[in-house]
Amino acid sequence: MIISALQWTETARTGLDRYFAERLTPQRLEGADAAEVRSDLKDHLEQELLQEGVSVVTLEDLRRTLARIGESLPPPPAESSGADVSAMRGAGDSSAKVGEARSETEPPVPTVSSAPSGAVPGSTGRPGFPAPPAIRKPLGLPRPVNHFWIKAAGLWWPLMIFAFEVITRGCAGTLFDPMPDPAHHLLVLMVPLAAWIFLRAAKPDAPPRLKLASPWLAGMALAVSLYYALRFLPATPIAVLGVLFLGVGLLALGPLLAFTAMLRMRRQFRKFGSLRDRRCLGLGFWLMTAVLLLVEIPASVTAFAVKSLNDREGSPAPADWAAATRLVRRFGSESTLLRSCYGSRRQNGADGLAYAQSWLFSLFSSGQNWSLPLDEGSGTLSRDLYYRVTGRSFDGQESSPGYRPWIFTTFNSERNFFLDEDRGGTRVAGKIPGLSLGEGRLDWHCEEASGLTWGEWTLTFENAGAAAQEARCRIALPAEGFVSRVTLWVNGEPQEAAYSTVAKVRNAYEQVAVRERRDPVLVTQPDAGSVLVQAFPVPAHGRLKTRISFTAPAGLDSRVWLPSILESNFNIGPAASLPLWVQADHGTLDLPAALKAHAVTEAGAPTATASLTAADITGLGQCFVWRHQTKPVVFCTDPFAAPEHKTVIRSTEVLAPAVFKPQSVAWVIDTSAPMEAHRKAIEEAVKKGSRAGQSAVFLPDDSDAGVLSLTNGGFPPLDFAGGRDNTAALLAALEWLRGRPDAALIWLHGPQPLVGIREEGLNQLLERGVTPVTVVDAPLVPGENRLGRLLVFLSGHERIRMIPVRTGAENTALAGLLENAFAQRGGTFTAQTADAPLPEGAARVQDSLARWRARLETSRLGLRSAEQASAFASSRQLVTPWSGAVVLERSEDYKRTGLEQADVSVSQQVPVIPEPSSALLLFLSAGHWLFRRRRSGQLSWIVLGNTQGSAPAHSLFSGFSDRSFLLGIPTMLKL
Amino acid sequence: MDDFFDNWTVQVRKGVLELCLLSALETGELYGYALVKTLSATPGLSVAEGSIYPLLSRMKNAGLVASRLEESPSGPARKYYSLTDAGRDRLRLMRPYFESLVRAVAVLNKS
Repeated sequence: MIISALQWTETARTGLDRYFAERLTPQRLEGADAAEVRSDLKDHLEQELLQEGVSVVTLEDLRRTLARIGESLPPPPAESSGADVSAMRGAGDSSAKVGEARSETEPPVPTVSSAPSGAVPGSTGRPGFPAPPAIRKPLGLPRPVNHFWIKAAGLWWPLMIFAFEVITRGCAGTLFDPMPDPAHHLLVLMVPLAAWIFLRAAKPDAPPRLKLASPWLAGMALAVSLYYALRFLPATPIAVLGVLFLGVGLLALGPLLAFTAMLRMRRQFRKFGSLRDRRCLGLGFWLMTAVLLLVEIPASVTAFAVKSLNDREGSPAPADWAAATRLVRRFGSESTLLRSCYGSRRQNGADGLAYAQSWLFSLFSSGQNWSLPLDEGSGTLSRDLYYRVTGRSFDGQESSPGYRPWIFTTFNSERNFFLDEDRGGTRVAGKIPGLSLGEGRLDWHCEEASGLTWGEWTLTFENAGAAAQEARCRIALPAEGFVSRVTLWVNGEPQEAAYSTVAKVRNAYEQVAVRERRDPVLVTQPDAGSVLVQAFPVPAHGRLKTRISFTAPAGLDSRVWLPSILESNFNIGPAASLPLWVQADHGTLDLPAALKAHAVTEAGAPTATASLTAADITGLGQCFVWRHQTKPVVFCTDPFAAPEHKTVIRSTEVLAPAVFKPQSVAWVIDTSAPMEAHRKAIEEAVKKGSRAGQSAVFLPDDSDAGVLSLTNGGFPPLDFAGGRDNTAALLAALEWLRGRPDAALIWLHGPQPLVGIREEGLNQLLERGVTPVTVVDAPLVPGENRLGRLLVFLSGHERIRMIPVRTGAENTALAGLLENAFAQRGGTFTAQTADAPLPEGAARVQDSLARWRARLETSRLGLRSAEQASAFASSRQLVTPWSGAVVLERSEDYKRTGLEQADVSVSQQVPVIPEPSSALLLFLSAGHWLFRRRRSGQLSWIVLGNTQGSAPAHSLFSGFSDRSFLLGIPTMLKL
Repeated sequence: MDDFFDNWTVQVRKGVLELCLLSALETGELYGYALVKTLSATPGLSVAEGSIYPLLSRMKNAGLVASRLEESPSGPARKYYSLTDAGRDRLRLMRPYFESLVRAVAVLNKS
């Protein structure tokens, strides 16, 4: 009686009984349990039949199956064997024929008589061993379990795709990054690993641990392959068409093929595996599915948020921003969002199932939207969302999206073929692989009589990539400082810049640099406290050298801030070092202890040298203290002025420094996440600064209003989170200050890079309001500040006075810095003809004085007319918010673009101090020799032109101490 | 190939089939169907699948292997075979003997 899930026809059942009757005879069983062998054989046959998909078993099915396992169906009693063989041949089953043929030729099973002597009956000759079963000849091999597909699609092809993607990043560069981090690399490798373990475990000599691990790995690999098959689903139809018609596209089909191989593995386990194996496989699958969901939820949520903002008609409303920001802050992926910032052509970041989902939804909903990227624009929305989520500006962030294994850095195709979409733009944007800051130097001079300082920063950009790139950076200006000279080395020769309106120099730069790809550098000042430097092209595997000069008065607190790089699209390695040289003609220099400066006073002139690290030249930068005593009246010749204004005089005799004491102070405190590091300094500054008069605090928040207002002393614990738009808070603060006397607004903030801000309300208030307001702009965290730029240009009238404040990274003295910000410099500037008499005691200084005067005059003009300010600043070779500088490669480039190159003879120089002439050197040497001889009694004083003792010598060496004089001589001789 | 060679290969394989079965079960229990498929798919062994079950039954009767039944979601209950301690002992005897035999043949071949 046969009991099974299969239905047997009567003839098949009879055939099976006949087979057992013949097979299970005592001679053939040779001691085996007939019932057990019958049961085992029946199970085996049924497994074979089920695998074939047979549900109703016919005699032919039975005959074929028996033949496959090396057995044969005996003919029915009435049927001749010849007829049976003919019937099988008619069925066309070659394996059946082989089986039949083999059974007829099979040698007889060993019998007792054939056993060696001494063996028990029914054994093979060794005690306790029954006779072996019939053995087939090599020609009659049964069909082995076919593992070809598992090997091909589950092992080798995934390995090849993995290697291809790791080396070329082909998919990451065109569709999306399937392996953005090490975890995803391991996930992908799990598929071929599972296939390899399965194939090893299927061998008879496989170690037990492989047999244990195989079902687990198979389950996990099944989940991984399903996940990647889904992610590649949008590309699958195209890949199929590609394979069919072009012969390409197998790479994109790889995940799907691997999934089918993993399914085949699962089938093998269901057929041959134990219950434990099947359970392990299922557990592995669900475990990995849970892991994948956990891994992919952040990326999918981020993709969904970006997509939802993109799908809005017009600009997203504040409520949309708030919802998207909340969602991504809680559940999103920062790395996905960062990759999305690169816009439609270089996004590489459409991660997660949302990628496939959004693509499918858009495909089925409109039938037109085939664009794969989540952010279809230039990444602007993503960049704004990135700031709102993290509080950091996208600009200057590492641009290499995703994890790069070592082999990728070896080939580094991205470095060689990086497409910079922000070239020639006004944003620094992300870092360019292979572009870096090479060697450079910073030389700074301090002139005591005028209290002015100026210096040169030489920068060399290096490009290790195979394509020319544009280097961009935003450099923080020294406090009250400005750019006074720009130089570019073209073919090894320094070339001076031309100065004109921002629009004109940018036009020239775009024409010559971006379109014609020749050597220009462009410097513009987008806001009150920084300049944007752009240099293109930094040639492939080459370098580009430029120099920017800055001028700034020493602060009223004697601090001198050095320029620093706020953002850059080039890499500044942690090992970068910049030699710093600071010199003053008089006074004392006090550099921060952290710089480990080497200070020396030579001929009465203090100098200090130090090596600035990457941390010193980036971010908020470094400052030093220069204690000095300015002269009350100084003058210089203005190299740019008309004859009637050729001599510029600055007098501080009449007006002493004054301190503006505001009666109404509005504090706008950016509560974005990066500001949390300055919580203590902020709280102390607000506490100290709110003592006198009325004060109010305005805190940007995530509410619909965008601001929390607190007047007269209210100051709750600050809640820092994400990135917050300060527009509403500034607007509220300016509203509060309307009509109040001596109004001041102190804005402590981090980056404000948002493009999509609603600025018209602020614009209106700045244009229409009449209350004069002093705005102290104090960035505590470096970064793009578009809102600050807006304030500079919208406050184009005299009632808004912007005071940019440089603060250090530590901010321990923030309260003091803010107090000093209100201090006003005394002094007046006058101009006269070159031959007009000078005020008594006026000291001649270098023409940096004239440049400073021109910068202040430009600001004054800028409040009334941008055109006048631009024309005046250009004529004085200054970079201001109204004027820029551009260096072009050839003189005809200047002519063609209507620009005039600056004359190098009137360009600013950093002098060498002291400046001994040859005659002076000789004289000093002689004087030194005479002095020593007289001290030793060998010679009396010889004084040229005077017989009154040592008086002339004293006047000659005034300013030098005896010690410095003595030390200075050998030094100068050495020079 | 002549009949002598054919008969000789059959006899040689007969002699080692018990060893193969015991070796296959050494690493753990196996579903009977999988065991048979493994042996039949092992290159060079060339054993007919239908002839293994009687051998398994005999080895079970000799106490060398044990079997147990387990429910299956997709068909009849499955029979799993495993080595008994006696089977393990027997394998420990058979394996070195077979290896020494192979070495002896190799020595003769070299000489």
